[in-house]
Amino acid sequence: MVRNVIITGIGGQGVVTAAGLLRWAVLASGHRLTGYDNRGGAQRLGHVAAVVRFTDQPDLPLAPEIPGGDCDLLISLEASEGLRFARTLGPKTTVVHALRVVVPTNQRRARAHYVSLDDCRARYVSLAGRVFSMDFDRVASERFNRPVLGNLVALGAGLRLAGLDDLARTLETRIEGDARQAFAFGAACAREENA
Amino acid sequence: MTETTPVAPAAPVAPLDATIFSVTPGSRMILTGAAAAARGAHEAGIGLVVTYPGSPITETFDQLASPDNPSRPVCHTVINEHVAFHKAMGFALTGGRTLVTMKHVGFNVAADPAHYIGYTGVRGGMVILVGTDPGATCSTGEYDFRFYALHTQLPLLEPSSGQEILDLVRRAFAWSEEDRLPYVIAVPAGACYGIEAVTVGEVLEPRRGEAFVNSPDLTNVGRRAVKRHQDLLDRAAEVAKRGAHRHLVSSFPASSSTLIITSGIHLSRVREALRLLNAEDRAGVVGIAQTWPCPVEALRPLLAGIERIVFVEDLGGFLEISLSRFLLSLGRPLEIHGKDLFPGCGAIDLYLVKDRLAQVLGVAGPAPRPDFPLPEREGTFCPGCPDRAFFHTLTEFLGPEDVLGGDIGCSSLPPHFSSWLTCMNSGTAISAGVTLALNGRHKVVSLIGDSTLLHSGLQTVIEAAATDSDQVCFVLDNHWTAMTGHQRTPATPVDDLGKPCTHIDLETMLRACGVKQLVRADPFYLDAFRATVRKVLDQNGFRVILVERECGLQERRRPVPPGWRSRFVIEPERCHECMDCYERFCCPAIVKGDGGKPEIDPILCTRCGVCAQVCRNGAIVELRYRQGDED
Repeated sequence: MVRNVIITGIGGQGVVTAAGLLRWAVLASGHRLTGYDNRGGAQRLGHVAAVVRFTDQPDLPLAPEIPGGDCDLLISLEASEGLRFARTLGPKTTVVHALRVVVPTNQRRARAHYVSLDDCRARYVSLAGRVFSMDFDRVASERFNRPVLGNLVALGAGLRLAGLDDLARTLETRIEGDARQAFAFGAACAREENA
Repeated sequence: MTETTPVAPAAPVAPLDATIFSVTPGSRMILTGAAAAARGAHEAGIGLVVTYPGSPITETFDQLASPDNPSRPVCHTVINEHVAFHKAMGFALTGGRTLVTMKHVGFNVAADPAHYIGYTGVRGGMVILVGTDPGATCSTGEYDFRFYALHTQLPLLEPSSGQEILDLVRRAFAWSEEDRLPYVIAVPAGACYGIEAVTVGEVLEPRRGEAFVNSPDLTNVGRRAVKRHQDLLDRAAEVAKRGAHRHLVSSFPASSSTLIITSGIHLSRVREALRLLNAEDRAGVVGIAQTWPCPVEALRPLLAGIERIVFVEDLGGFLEISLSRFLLSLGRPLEIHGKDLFPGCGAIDLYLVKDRLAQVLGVAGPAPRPDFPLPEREGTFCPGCPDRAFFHTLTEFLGPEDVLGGDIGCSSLPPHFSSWLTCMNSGTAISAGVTLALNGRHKVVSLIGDSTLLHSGLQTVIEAAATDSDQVCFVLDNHWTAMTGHQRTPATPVDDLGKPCTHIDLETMLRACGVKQLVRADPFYLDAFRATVRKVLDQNGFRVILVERECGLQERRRPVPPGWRSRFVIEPERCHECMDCYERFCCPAIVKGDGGKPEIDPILCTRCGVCAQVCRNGAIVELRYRQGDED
């Protein structure tokens, strides 16, 4: 068994935090993990991504990158950033994406076209097996007065939709307060989607 | 989709909030490669860690310098890599264990002492940890750093995983003492930012150095230098032999006449690529952890029956070139591939490895997956960055034929418009040559950050002042080495809490270097700054404008005392939608609202107030409120 998860977005959205929680849950569940972070974009609104690969086979070689079409779960906290990983998406992929497109400053300066939300959604639908979207920032802001908890709403939804329920249960044992509620809320939204 | 099947962990898992110091030996914890290196050094009992910060390796020092480190090694962020290397060398000569970290371009600055330490040797273990950057993800260049080994003769290790980073860093100190040579460990960005679970070991007592011992080996000139060079070559040959017994070559044989030779993190890429191609029986694999001097005696038996060798490596093909003499000595024809398959530039990844191995092994390649050409998302100046205000003003004064010499640091982020960006101190230094040729026909201005000024810029300023180089040098003083995580410099005027502290005054220092025309200015006051720039540009000779404003991020991290606060809003009735604030000034905190008009995101906004001065229509206004009355 090999599972591949990508969490991506722009700086300040809690990509690295969410990935850290996921990785800990993977390790606590007894799997071997690898992957990488693209960091440094936090203050500069550049691209941020975390790739998490894990397996139950101790000697199976795993590269840092996810092979083509092999992504199980892509969480894109900014609607367009997940498209940078387009070639990892395939029929087994669940995509969970936000509803906000943040136009890069270089595109602004050039007055160049950037993808719209509809463009993003259509591309995800054409590439992945399942697509779920929500305004995570707004939901987290309205329910918890902390838009940054949108990352945990998305993670809760994503793990449920991708069938990674045991990781979700492990993770829930280690988070508390609003963070836990945000995570559980995401999972509940996913249950409604599944129903 | 079925649930994952957990396997009982073989070792206890560290708690979520564990640090590399609080974790129990024998536990598993999740670390980046850079942090794993820190843990390895901690376990080895280092007495000193020295650095000049540089991505991708910055985290190693930051971890070891944590106040939570119970070993309390001496931790110094030093003014440049040349000084850092020398300081580490001095400590190692007294018998202390020392780690020095830098990025690959920083090693160029340390290269001078790095070429002599092989002659002098060391007493205490010394490890030089270099963060390399194939693909130039955070650098202006991506040369194959490994080729330094051919003339320094310093042993070079390339770990293949996070666990191996930890283990090799830990073991390298003892090897360094046995071989009397510092060890170089190269960790590319992909491994520095790679994240795995590692098992941590026991921690040794720190070795802080005992005494300096005079030795004739430390002074090498003329014939003595040649003799020491021969001694170094002899020692390197011994290190190669010992490497064969230190388990620094791993092999994954196959009943095939093809052997793939690789090093570092490419080992996992090669092995997974073969698995995905169902070609594990088509080629054996060898991963070399000590790439110089290569333990060829461990390699020799693995070459029995091999007719074809494929080297999988980035950039210059160091292994392919450095092993050529050994392969020739085998005395039989070999088909060799390497740089004919893999490019000499850019980082290689699993996709490229799979594609090229399919080609050379004659198996069906991967079906291409549809990609999506999403435009690059550039990083930019943070909200509240003084460099944004600076460049916004400077654009008014420079035409397309004027010259702006750029420098490494925050000022190299978009939307800078420097004429060049090569290495530290390139702004003022190259400008000195350009202005000689242009002879006043066009304006020549240059940038230098406060950290770069201290790193290597002072010599350039002294020269420019002495020759009255006709340029305006903007010293961008944001008080910190901000790009790499806000390290202090000797010129940082405040501590982390914002309280004034002892520091070098840059104006005093610049005047002592011979600068006669110098003004200080704050880029956040646009009209005054504009007037200063206009006046200085109209003058001649070497002029310095000391542009002073602290990094907005650092300011924002401090607690705000209770009282009146401000926020800035765009009044829709006054907004003419010229979009200057959104497109030209381009602050990330200014976003497009649902109706298409610009708005200020109160979470991102740092309240610097510069946008209010940029807006020509007075649409951006400041609201004052008391803390608690935000709504």
